[in-house]
Amino acid sequence: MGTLMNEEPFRIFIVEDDPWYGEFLEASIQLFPNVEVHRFGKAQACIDALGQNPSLITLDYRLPDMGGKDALRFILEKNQTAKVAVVSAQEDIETAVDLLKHGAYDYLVKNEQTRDRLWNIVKNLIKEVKLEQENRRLKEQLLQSVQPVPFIGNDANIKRAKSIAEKAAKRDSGILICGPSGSGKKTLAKYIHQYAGTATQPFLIFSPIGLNEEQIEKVLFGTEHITSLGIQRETGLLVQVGKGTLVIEHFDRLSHTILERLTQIKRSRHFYAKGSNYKFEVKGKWIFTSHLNSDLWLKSNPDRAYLMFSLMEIRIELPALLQRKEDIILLSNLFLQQSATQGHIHQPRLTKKAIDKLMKHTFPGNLKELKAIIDMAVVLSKNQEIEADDVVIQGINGQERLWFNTDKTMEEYQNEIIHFFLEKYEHKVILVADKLQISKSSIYNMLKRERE
Amino acid sequence: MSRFAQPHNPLFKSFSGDLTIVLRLLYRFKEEWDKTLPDWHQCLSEANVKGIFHIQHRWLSGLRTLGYDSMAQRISALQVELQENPSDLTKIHALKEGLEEIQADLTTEITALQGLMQHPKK
Repeated sequence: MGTLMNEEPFRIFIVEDDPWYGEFLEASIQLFPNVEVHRFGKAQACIDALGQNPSLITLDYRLPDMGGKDALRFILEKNQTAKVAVVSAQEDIETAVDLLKHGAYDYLVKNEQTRDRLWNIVKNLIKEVKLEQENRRLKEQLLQSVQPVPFIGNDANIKRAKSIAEKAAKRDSGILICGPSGSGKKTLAKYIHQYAGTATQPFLIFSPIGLNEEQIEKVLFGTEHITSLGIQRETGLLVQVGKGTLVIEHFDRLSHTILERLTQIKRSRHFYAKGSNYKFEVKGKWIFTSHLNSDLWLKSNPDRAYLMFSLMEIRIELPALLQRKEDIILLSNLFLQQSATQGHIHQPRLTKKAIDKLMKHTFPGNLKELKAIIDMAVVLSKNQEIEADDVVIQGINGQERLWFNTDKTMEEYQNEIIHFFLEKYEHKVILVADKLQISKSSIYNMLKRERE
Repeated sequence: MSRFAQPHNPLFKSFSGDLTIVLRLLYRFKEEWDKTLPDWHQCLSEANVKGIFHIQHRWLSGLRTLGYDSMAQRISALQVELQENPSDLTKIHALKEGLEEIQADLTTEITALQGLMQHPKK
C-alpha cells in the first residue's frame, strides 16, 4: 500500500447514526496513511459539508433524517465526483441493485466482512485518486510548459486584429486570417488556439501546396480500404485534430469541391470518409489563412463568395511590417529576447545606429525577415550590444539602399540608385555607367547638381 | 485469554493485532449495550414494537462485527417476524437470557483484554 505523502489527504465522510458502528468504520479506515475522516450522524450534516470534496462517503442506509436513497440522490446532485458506498444492516439484493442503479459506488452489508470490503474500496479509490492527481499535475505542468505565443504590436490594425482574434477564439466560428507572407498569420492562429483554452490539444497545420485534389482529400478527410485483413481506416486531419485547432493555409488554393465539402461538414459537425459508412465526429476549430486580401479574393471569385462566408464567418487582416513601422523596435526586442533565451545568453541590446538601420528597411519578408535579421545579429554581435554592422539586411551588409521607405521624386530615386552603385563599385564612374546602361555624363551631371 | 486476542479472531485480524483498538471498540460496544439493554426491556414491557425493532437493528451490525453470529442470526430472523406479525412478542421475550449472556461475556472479554494489555507476556 503506497502512501499519499505530499499530496492532498484522501477525505472520507462516514454518515452513520450508530455511534459504535461509526467508530468501528473510522478505526478501520484510519489505518490508511494520509486519510482524513469526518463523521456525521445525519445525512443533512453530510450534505452541508460536501464543499470539502470528500473522495468517499460511507452512507448508512437508515438514517434518522432521511432514507438512504434520498440521501444518495441529494449527495450526488451536489457532488458528482464523490463515491458513495451505502452500508446497510440488511442484506437485500433488490435494494442493493436499486441503489447501484441510482449511482451508488458500492453496497456493503454490516457484517464481519465489511471492514475487508471497505478496505478494498478505499485502497482502490486511493489508487484512482492518486492517478487523477498525477494526471492533473501533469496537465498543469504541460500547460506551464506551453509558452504563451506573444502576439504584440502597438499598431492600430494589429490591436484590432488581436481584439477580433480573442473574441473569435471563444466562438465556434470559422476564421480567416489574411496577410502578406511572413506577416504573422500562423502566430495569430496559435495565439487563438491558446486563447481558446485548447493549448494542450493538437495544433495542426495543413498546406495544400504541391498536393493534387486526391491527396488533399486523403490528408484532410482520411481514407478507408477493405483489405484481406479487414477494414483499414486512416483518419484525416479533421479528425486527428480532436478538440484542437486545424490551420488550413492557402485556402484560395482549395477547389470548389473541397470548400463545398468543408462547408457541409462545418454545418453538420460530422462526415463519412470516402467509401465508408463510418461516421466521424468533427470537434476542432478551423482557421484558414491566405496571403491574398479577402476582398480581392471575393472580387475574383464571386461564385464562391457563399463558401467563404459559410466557412469563415470571422475575417482578420494582418498588415505588412512596412505598414506598422512603429512595431519594429517592439518586435525586434521580442525576437532578441527569444533568440537570447534559445542561445542561453544574456539578451543584447540594439545600438541607435542598428535601430536606424532597421527602421530604414522595407522588410518585404515581414516578421519572418525581421526575426532572421535579429537571429543573425545576435550571432554576429561581439558583446552585449548589437551594432549597425551586425544588422545584415539582404546579405549586402552596409550597402543596402532603402528605396521606398519615404516618398521621393523620380529624380531623387535615380540619384539614390546611382549613389548605391557608386559605393558598390568603389566610385568607378565608367563601370557604374556601364552597369546601369546610362552615360557617364549623367552621373557627372548628377554629382555636379548635388554639389551646387 | 480473551477470544478477541486470538490470531483467527476477525476483529483482531482487522486491526492487525492492535489490542488498543480492539479493546476500545469492545468497550464502546459494551457501553452501548449497557445503555440500550434497559431501553429494550422498557420497550418490551410496553410492547413498543417500533422501539424494539430500532434497538435490535442497532445491535445487529455490532453483533455481527464482533462475531456474536448466532445471536445476530436470531435477532435478524426476529426482525422479519416482527415486521410481519408485530403483536407476537413471545420470541422476543425469549431473547432476554441470551442478551444478558452477551452482556456478561463482554464484561469477561474486556477484563481479559485489559489484563492482557497490562501483562502482555501472560
